[in-house]
Amino acid sequence: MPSLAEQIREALALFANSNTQPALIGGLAVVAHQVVRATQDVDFLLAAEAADTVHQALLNLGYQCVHRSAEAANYVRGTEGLDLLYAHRPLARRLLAQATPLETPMGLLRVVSVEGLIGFKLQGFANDPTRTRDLDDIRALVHKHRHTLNRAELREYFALFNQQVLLDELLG
Amino acid sequence: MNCLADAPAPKPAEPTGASPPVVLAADAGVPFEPQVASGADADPIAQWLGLMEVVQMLCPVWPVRTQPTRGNCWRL
Repeated sequence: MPSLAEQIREALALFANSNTQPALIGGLAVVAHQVVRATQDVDFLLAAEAADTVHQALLNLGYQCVHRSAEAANYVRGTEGLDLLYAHRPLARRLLAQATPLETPMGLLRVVSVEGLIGFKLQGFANDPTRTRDLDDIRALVHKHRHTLNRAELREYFALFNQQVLLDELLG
Repeated sequence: MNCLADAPAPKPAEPTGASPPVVLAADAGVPFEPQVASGADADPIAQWLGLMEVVQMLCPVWPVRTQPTRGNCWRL
């Protein structure tokens, strides 16, 4: 599976050259948290102040920017995709700062906590209810880590999106 | 009447040292040894790389996500 691994390795080098340390979110972060499923989603949480630098660096690598807002950006290069979520509110910045380094065959990847990842998945689902994959990932992550999850932190995220009932159902 | 009931049972083929081993259809294909790992110390990223190797054999090109990240509910 050289192309996807190479793409991630290249992205990590780009981030290092841009003096920024993003954290993995999305499907690959779900994998890193022990829920192994097929995914080609390469999603990173990036400090908002690094957005312009990384944007230019990605363009230099041949990516095309298909969408960019104050919250997120989507890039494609042929059949490869790379998505960025910008951290500028305190919660996201805290999750970015607390991301855990993980040694992988592609290099050192920083990964958001499982609670934070569930929070981002919940945000994705709140923004686009057709993304049922997010809900499936949330269910799988809660099931996998149900004995070790920080439930107070989870409640904070579910309350943000008025989904406390869903959390009770998941933990029940 | 079942006419096969009176037929002699076929003898199993005798293996011969000179002939190559018979490859049954069920055993054919590209040899692939999936990584078998379990427990807390199993590396999920290595498992994913193994899984994606198989997935890309079956589906070499995945569709790129065409929907941009959308929504107006950004609270994290």
